[in-house]
Order: sequence, then structure tokens, then C-alpha cells
Amino acid sequence: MMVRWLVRRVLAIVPTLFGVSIIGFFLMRQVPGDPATALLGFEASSDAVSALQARLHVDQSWPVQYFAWIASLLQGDFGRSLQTGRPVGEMLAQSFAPTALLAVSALGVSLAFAIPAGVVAATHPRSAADRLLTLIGIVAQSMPAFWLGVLLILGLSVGLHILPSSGYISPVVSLWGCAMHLISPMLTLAAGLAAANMRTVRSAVRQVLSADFMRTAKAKGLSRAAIVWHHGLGNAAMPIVTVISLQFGQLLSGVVVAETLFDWPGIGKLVVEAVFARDYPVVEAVVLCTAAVFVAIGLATDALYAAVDPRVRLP
Amino acid sequence: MTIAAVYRSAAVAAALIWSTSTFAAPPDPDTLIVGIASDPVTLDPGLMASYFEVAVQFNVHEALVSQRPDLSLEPGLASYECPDPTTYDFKLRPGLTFHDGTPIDAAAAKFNLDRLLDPATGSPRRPELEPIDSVTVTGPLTFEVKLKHPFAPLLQILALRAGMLISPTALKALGPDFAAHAVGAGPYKVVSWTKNSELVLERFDGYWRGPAPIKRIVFRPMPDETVRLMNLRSGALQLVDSVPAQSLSNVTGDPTLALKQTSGLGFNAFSFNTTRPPFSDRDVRRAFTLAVDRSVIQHAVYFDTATIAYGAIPPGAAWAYDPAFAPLKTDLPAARALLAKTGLALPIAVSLTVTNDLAQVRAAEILQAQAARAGFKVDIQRTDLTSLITLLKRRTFDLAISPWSGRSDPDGNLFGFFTRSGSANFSGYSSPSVDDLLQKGRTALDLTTRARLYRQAEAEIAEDAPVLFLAFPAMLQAADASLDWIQYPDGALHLGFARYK
Repeated sequence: MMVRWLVRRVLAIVPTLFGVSIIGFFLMRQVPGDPATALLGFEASSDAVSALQARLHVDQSWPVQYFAWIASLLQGDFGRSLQTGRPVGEMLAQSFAPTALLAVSALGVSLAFAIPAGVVAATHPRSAADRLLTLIGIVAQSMPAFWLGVLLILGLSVGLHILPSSGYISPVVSLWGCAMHLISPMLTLAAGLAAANMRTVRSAVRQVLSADFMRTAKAKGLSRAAIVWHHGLGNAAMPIVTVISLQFGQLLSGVVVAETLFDWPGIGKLVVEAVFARDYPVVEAVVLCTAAVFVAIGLATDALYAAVDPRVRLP
Repeated sequence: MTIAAVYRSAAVAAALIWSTSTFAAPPDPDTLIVGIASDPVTLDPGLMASYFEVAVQFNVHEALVSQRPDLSLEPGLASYECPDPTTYDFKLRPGLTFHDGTPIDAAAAKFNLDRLLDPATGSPRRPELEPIDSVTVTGPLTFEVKLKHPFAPLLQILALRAGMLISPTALKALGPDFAAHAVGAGPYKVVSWTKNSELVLERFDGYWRGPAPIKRIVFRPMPDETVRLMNLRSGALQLVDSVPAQSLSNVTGDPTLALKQTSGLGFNAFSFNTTRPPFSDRDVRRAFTLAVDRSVIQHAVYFDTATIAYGAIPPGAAWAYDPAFAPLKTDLPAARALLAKTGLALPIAVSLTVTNDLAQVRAAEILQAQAARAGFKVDIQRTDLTSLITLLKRRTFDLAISPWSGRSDPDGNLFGFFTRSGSANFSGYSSPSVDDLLQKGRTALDLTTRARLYRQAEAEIAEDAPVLFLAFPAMLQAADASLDWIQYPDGALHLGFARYK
């Protein structure tokens, strides 16, 4: 039963990704300009532009370009960047680790703050602590990531000189250097997430705390800590997991801002540059891979539910 | 752990980070990290077409002719003679090699020039080298360039990308990968290039002027100007290729930084679309131009660092520049009278396109307000650079920004913009008389004659007002105060001359 469910869900991914590939492909070509114009700039003659267009094969009709792209994609080849000539697969692979590191650590830090803070706010509603946390949450959530990032650079890098203002060092090269470079972009990304997650935890835990079985637990003589942390948070976990898995999209747009601001060589920076350069194969590959990760996370979340809660498995 | 203990350990950790911090340390004397606005597109000088390679090109490559910071010329890889107006004899310095050890000889020089002239290469350099008829090897180190007609800017052009020699062996071996691993003859050779991250160069010991003082150069692209400047202030960078005028006080107020400023070669201008109404009417263009008060833009956009522009010849080209030239100066009544004469219904609705660049948007807003007083209703449209270029080339705009990074010879600022087939003639301007003047300016050889021709062309263009000139922005660059380096008016970084004090 479980296996069949899984197979069906995995097969359903194929048309989704196919649709994304078509939308990504044609949407990008709706943007004015083409790679040759972007590469050659203001001074190029129209002869030079059309010569380059022919060399890059972007002068062919869209369906021809699309099928050529899909055909090589099915053989596992993402093609080459029109801007740099490098294999797109290699560029993606290189950018993936920095982005994963940034996104996962930001998510981790946001949860490390949001879960205790949310539980405290839920168990002490309308207390001073709850009000303060709500205020912090509103500020953190409404502060644009770009602005927070600039403040961090000004304060920690320009003012105090305790953190580097930009760049990335691989953890393989230097764990310490990597951590130092990670802090500011991670905080930039984590602030908004932490605030949103805290509010989710707060409302989920509050809802569970008012449920009947909590009174039962209390009547059984369980300690308050056991009630809140074990029964309360445990039962509130489902909605929290749902919200976190849905946050992937927000995380990704945040990554674009944080990477651009802190010169972090990840997927976000790659795709921004590629859009401006009309580097079609790179944009399309990033869109497709992002969609695949998005779908995979959705699937993993559902599988998690299915494992925990048999009701989800029913059609 | 009690709350107090948490605070105590946090304080210890903070102190530890503070004391072990290496980010405030003085720069590594062997390394120079440069923040640039955009990654180079290619390192192949024959294919470079954007302004973005200017910061990098002179470090990896060396040209036949060399340009001094005052724009005068001296021998570079080769000395030159001009026995008659259509013949140039070049003699290469003996015993030199490219970064890969390939000798720099006359055959390599001919290979390079022929490559740029070959239409199959698709080089953006071909139009400017078009006057070359043939390149002939006359000895192991000597070659002759024969021109179809006299062409005054030739040596200037050969001091820039068109004159930069690359190793023929490396080009053949690397093929399309050459763009990422260029092998030239400049003071630095390419070690590695991670696109959008860093370009690492290392000193080339065989450089003809002798090894450069600084061992290693790293270029880091940072498109956001605020971010770039903050990284300079934090010490992560030692040099930035450009400083926006609105951030100048951040640099001048910081004793660890040093600002360099010189009048640039480029201009900031808006092209009128002369191929469709309403700006197909010369009087409408003139009225718009008369409504503009450039001093407001000079003050609010350039913070008084630029020079007000009425034409394309920049103050940097001192022999041709005329400081008194100021046609169609602000005159609101005259602008209104001209519009009334056209009989068009007021206000005249026009679109004005700029990129999202802060200075451009601000200039656009000022133009919008000023033109409104004469009877224009300006709709500002913001777009990205590639969309802007596309719109300019397709002429699907009314008025659009068309800045120019500038060339040391006025020919480079005028010919492409105002001749009928010019590659930057976005306005669709067409004047046989101006075509003729600019063509003569190319072929005349003495500077007095050329200056007269260019000034006359500039005056005729101003009467027709196909382009609204606003300013010649100053070249503003900043570095760590401990860095000793030379600024060039075109913004190019010649880091072979840089050293730490």
C-alpha cells in the first residue's frame, strides 16, 4: 500500500517538471533582449550581434531550441552557459553546496530560536514575554532582508571589524573561516524565518494546549514541563512541519537577496546573473532543479505524514 | 546552566572572536583584492565588447602601443613609425614571450590582427580596424600595416583592445575555452577564474617592463555599489573600480581610504528617437533640450563632480574640447514658443527609459519635472541593461538613456553615435554633412584640422538635437590608503604599476 502510494506520487512528478520546463523556457524568452545583445553590449554592430546569435544557436525558432534542449537534458546534459561556455551542470554543482549550507543553517538557527520562543509565548499568553516576542517577531518579519543585511555589514564588518563583509570559504578549506563568513548572510536569511516560525509554533502549541487530552494529562499528574514539551509540542509538530516545508519558497527568494548582498557564490547569485545576461540554459536549469527540489521536499513531507499518520495514506 | 552563566560564556565568546579577529588586519602585502562592478564577460580581448572588462584587460594583456595616464602614446610591445599617412611600420621588442612561453614575433602580431579582421571571428573590433588593408611581416620582429586611406585614430586604437596580442599557440590549443583562460603578454597571468566569484591573477615574470610589485591580484565582482564600498571600508577589498557620486562622503570621511578623481572620457546622454513622433520633429527635440537645466542634474546626481555636457567631445580630449561650447542652454520661454509653433496638443506624452541605477533614475525624475514645465508629460520606465540595449537597437522608445564609456579619441565618441550606419546611432540620426565631417575627421592627420572638424560636427549635431547631452561624469575610484596606484581617465586599472607603500 505504502509502496504503491510512493510510486504514484513519484510518477506524478514527471508531468509537473515537464510543465515547469516549458513555462521556464518560454517565460525566459519573453524577456526583451537575447544573450548576444547582453554579451556584446552597447557598441556592437548588428552584424556582430547576429553572428553571435548564430554561434549560440539562439536565432533558431523557439520549438527547435526547446526540443534540442530537452533532448540533451534527457541524456543528462544541461548544455553549456551562453555567457561563459562552461558546462551548466558543473556550474550548478559548484553553486549548490554554498546555497545548501546557507539555507540549512539559516533554517536551523531560525528553529533554534522559534521553537523555545514560540513555546514560551504560547504558555504565557499576554505576558510581558509574549508581548516582547511578538514585537520582535513583527520587527524581524517586516524588516526587508536587504536592509538587515546592510545593517549587519555596517555594524559587524565596517564598524566593529569582527566579521568579513562578504565572500565564501569552503568548510573543507577552513571551518573557522567558513563559519565567520556564514554568520551575517545566515542571520539576514534567518531573521524573517525565525519570526514566521515563532508565530506558527505559538499558535500551534496554544491550540494543542487547549485540547481535551491536555486536561487528561494534567489530571494524570504529569509535570507542566512534560505536558508542554512532550504532549504539547509533539502534537503541534504536524502543522509546524507543514509550514516549514512550505517555507522552502520563501527561503529560496531570501537566498537570492542574501547571496547577492554578501557575494555568496550560490544558486541565487548564479540565477540573478544569468537572468541579466539572458543566459537561457543556466536560468532554465536552475528553475528546473529548484522545482525538482521543491517537489521532492513536498513528497518527503507527505511521506513523513504518511509514516506518522495512517489517515493521510487513504486516497 | 543558569542565565548568568549563559551571559558569561556569551561575553567570553564575544571577547574571543574580537581578539582573534583577523578581518581588521592590514592588507596582505602580496595580494591586492579589487572589487569590480561586474564580472568580465570574456578574457579574450578580440571578443571583449562591454565596459566591464576595462578593469581587468590591461593586467592580463599588453597592447602594441601603450597609453600614458595623460592619454599620450608611447611604444608598448612595439615601437612604430609612420613613413606615409597610409603606412605604419612596427618593430616588436626583442626576446619577449607570452605567458605560455610562445615568442612574441611579427608572425604572432600578424596572426592577431588578421584574426580580428576576419569576419568569421565576429570580433567587435573589426569596424574600428576596417581601414586596414593588409598586414605584412617584413622581418622576424617587424611588420607593416597598410591602410586603405589615412586613419588618424589608428595608434590610439592599437593601444586598446584591438592592439592587445594573445598567444596564437594558446588560442589554437584552448579553442573556445580561451575566453576563460586567456594567455596574453600583460603583467599578470590568469591562475583561475570562478565565474561570478573571483578571478585570480599572478605576476608574470617575463613582462617587458619587469615583474610587477604585487604578486597576486584577485578581482571580485560586486554589482551593488553600496556593497562594494562597504567591503572596501571593512578591509575585504583594497581597491574599487568605481564609486558612486552620492557615496563620496563615505570615502572622503574615512582616513583609511584614498579617493582618486579625474575627468572621464565618457558622457551621460539620452537619445531621442528621431524615427517616430513626437521626436521625429526637430523642434520638439529642441524644445525638450531647451527645457533642461543641466546644473540641477550636475548638483543632484553628480554632486558637482561631473562636467556639464553639451556635446560628445569630453574635457579629457583637451585638444578638441571647447569649454565655451553651450548651444541650446536652458530657456523655458523659447521651449514653450517652439512647442506652440509645432501646433501639437499639450501636454505631449513621451516615455523616458532608464535602468534601475540610482543615478539614472534620479536624472530621469529631474528631466521629468523640468520637461513638464515646457509642456511634456514624461512617463518614466525602468528596465534592465539588456532590455534597454534591445529597445535602443529596435528604436522602440521615445527618449532613452544611452551612456557611453568614452574613448580617448573624439572619433570614438562621435562616429558610432552620429554617422548614419554608426553602431550606436540609436536616435536614427541622419545628416550627410555630419557624416562627411566625421569621415574627414578620421582621415585628417594634424590635430588642429581634426579639432576644427569635430567642433563643427558637434555644433551641427547640437542644432539638430538628436541626443540630449547631460554630463561628462568624473572617474571616481577609491583604494585603501596604503595602496599606491595610477588612475587612468577611462577607468582602466593598470595594476602592473600598483604597489603598497
